[in-house]
Amino acid sequence: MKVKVLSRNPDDCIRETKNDIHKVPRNYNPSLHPFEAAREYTRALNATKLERVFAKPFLGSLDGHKDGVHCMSKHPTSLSTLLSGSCDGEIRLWNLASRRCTRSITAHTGFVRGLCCKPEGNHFFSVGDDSTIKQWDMETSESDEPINTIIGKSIYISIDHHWKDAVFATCGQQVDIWDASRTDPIRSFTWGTDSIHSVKFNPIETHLLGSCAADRNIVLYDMRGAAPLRKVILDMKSNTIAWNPIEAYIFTAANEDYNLYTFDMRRLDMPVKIHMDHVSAVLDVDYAPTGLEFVSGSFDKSVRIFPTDKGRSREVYHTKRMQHVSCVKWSMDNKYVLSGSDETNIRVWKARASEKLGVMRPREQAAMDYDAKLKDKFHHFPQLKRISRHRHVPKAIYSEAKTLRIQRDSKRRKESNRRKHSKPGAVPIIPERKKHVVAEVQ
Amino acid sequence: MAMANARTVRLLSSGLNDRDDEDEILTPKEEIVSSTEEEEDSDDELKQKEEEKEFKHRSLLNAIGALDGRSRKRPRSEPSQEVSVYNLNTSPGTSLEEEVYAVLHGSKFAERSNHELSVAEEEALKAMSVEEARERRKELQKMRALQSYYEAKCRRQKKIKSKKYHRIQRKAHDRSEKKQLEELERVDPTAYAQLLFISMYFSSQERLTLKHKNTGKWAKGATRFGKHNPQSVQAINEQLQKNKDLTTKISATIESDDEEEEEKGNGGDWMKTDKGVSIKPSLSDINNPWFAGEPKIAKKKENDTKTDGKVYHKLQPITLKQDASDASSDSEDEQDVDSMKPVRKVRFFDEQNSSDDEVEIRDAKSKNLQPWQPLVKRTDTENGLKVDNEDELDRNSDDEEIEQENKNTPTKVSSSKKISEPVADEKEEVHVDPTKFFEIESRKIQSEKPDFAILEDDADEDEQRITIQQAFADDDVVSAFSKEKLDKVDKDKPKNIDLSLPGWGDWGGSGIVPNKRKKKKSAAVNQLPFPFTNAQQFERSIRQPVGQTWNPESTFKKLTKPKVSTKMGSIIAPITSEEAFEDKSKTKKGHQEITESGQMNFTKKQTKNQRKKSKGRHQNKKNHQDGNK
Repeated sequence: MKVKVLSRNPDDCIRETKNDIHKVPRNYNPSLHPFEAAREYTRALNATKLERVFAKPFLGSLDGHKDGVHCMSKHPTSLSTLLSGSCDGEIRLWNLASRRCTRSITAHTGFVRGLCCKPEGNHFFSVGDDSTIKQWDMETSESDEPINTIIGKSIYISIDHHWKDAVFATCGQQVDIWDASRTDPIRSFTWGTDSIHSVKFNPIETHLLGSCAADRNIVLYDMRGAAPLRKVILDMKSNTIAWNPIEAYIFTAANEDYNLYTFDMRRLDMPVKIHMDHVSAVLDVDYAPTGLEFVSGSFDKSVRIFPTDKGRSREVYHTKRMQHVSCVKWSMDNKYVLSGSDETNIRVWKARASEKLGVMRPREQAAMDYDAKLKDKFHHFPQLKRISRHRHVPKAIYSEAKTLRIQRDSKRRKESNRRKHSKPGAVPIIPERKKHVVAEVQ
Repeated sequence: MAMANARTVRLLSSGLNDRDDEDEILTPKEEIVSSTEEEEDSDDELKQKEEEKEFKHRSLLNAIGALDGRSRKRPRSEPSQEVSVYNLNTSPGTSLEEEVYAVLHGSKFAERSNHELSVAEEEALKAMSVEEARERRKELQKMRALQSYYEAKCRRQKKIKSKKYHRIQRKAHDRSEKKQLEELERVDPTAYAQLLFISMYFSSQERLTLKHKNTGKWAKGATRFGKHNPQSVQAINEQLQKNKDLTTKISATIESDDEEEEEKGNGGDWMKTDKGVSIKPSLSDINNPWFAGEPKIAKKKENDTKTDGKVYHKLQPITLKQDASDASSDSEDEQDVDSMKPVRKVRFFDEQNSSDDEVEIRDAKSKNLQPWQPLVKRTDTENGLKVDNEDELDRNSDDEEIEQENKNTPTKVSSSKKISEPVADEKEEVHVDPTKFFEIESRKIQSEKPDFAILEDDADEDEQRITIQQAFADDDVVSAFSKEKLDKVDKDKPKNIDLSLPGWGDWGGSGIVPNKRKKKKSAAVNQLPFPFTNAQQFERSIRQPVGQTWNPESTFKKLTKPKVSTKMGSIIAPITSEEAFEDKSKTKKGHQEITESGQMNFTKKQTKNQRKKSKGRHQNKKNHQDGNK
């Protein structure tokens, strides 16, 4: 009698030591693994669902300010250090890792309007409603007195430090460029008469800076020149701008008209992208260090994250207690988002809501990467799109968004009707991007 | 009884006391009297046998002692006389009586009325003098001593706990065995074949059973609980190894002698391997259809194997034992002494039964022996497998003789070759059945032909048909041919390819009707997504799988590599103009690397300062996360 048996050499499949790799014999014959598209689609769907399941972005809050947080500054060399200034003139330094306040300084009378750090990270500057510029040591000192105080003629509303040199810029009635060792500005720029409430240095082309003025314009300056370079006038005023840290000529402006505008500074007549989703004025914006995304905080009590090249936000963060978000920051390791809001709290969020923090094993990492790839591959499919886009938002935001949509639709409808009932060409089609730009002035 | 024997021994002549002395040397603490008891105590069979023989011997000596006249007073003759009287009167009726009668009269120990001594006593007197007996006893004692030494040695060796020692021993044993086998293969392929066949039998047995497969109660327990006990692990391993050893295939080829091949060179191809003749046909396989045609051969072979009788698994001549048994058998089979001479004794140990089979084989020179029996003839040398040249020569000549004699009677060796002959013959012969033929449409010629001519033809045809029938009896080539043709046609035909996938749709079973009312979720996009210009492009991109199921590891990694990877705790500084305008191919220190595929890696760059600091920061961040949890 012949007995047929399966035989297998154990050497082929058993590993010799614990650390040896598993030899898994695989047959990649496509006929053995059919329905690849369907199966991957299902996997992508599951991955998308799981992403929503694991989306828990809120990490914690920094509690300590006695008044609304008005401004924040990242430490240039320390990821765990954060500076924040509140409406009662207090500056606090935070350790993000321990979520503790390491130091609090009563710096100004009235608002702390702006904060910035020296690129070396040893000093920081603050401006306040008491029209002073104060320089502080980062290290704790007993007296809590500023190293240097500059008393200006007018109120300074914002301050930003040069990315390399010992130069900083302030703005109020005009944009001033200061040398830290001098008591007078080395240069001043004015264009128009209105107050300027934000100034930002370009991180790449470090001598460039941009400012937002109350007369609805965004002005660009070259620190080396005597006069401002150019400006763009928008429908409504911009609250602040943020430069893209990877692309030197791209900046995004947070506007009062609920939108954010990404501009190419070489061509200001039309924004590169309009980012809509907020339902109230956008108060602050900050770029991710990768330059691919930015975060915005709005008066509508929400924080949104936009891809640079997308018109719609990919994420919205809100909590029941969070009030108007006055300032947002994106951490320099691209993992966290910080928001300071009116109700005195600074909140720490994950930059990607469902991302697993901490050490991952290679297999897990590979699985995550595969999921991400699948989600990207099938993101056009309506089922996936619906799930990944689905968010619960506060009722106020939801209804406001609905109202806005109705308004927008109504406007569109009216325009199309007008076009329909008038001579062809009489009502020209103006692209959305051009609608919000009033003028570009050189 | 032992006591009585001892007493009688004491009564014997003084020369026999030597033996007692010797016993004292062997077992100094034993009493002289209990010398026989000591023998009883020993558990060895052989010893027992010896004892029995000893006893017999002693009884003979008793008989001798009886001649002295001191023990003459024994009232032995009286009952016998009575019996004889009784016997005279009555003939034995029952079987028991018959037996008793036979014992009393037929036995050589029986007393005879007209003789003083019985036959046995006379024989004993003739056969053995006291001197001889003494000599013999000495010899036996020596043997016993040797044996006990050997046993002690064995016991000592068995007690050794060193595994290494045993391993070495075992290996040496295996080696010698292998050598023996090789020798056997060289010397006697047939015997070797038989050995192989037996081992194949055992291996097949092993394959059939679950023995040594860790399925037993003990093995299960050991694998479960004795995992950390090296001894049990080793035991399990040994078991598995045994299983493996038993189940591994044994190369089934034997080298056959060239001469033999030349002699009977008509063997079919089917039984030849590269090296020689495959053993299969040489083994008498009843199931083999090739033997079915010649039942006589098969039967004969069976008989032959029966005469061989035993299973010769392992050849292991043990000289000592053999000697001992020889020695004992001398006295035992006295009447066979003459006939024993041509017989050589070989001891075969069946490994499995471990019972010793003694086989006596007459010399191969006797003509009744079949030539495939040299199995024993060749191996029956005193020291294992040595073969005398003379013997070899004898064998060769014998074989030839037998060949000539038994040319018609198929032998085992040649049978394997002869069997194949009909195959060749069959191929040469063509059997045609004239009743079956191809019907080709005959065209009828429109002409008038006289009927008688047709009749004549018919007769002729009939005759021809008969001859053809006779010529090609009992095989239909035509049908075979048509069948072959049909097969070929079928082969050339396009076949239905089975497109069903293994496993797919098996769960639901057959005959499942999908619910019509159930909403179908369409997995299709409404619009063609942006970067694609046509549907095919998009579909192709979707159809191309990314997963590990379809791609090798490296490809999978490449495909799923994220476009942007950042490392937690490392600061990503803004790009600098130098980096932005640097030649990308030279970029190495750049804080962000944009690879060919457009993937950005932000994890690499850190200035020295940053790196130093970021270590600590990383730690902090970790703490941060922990705190958040």
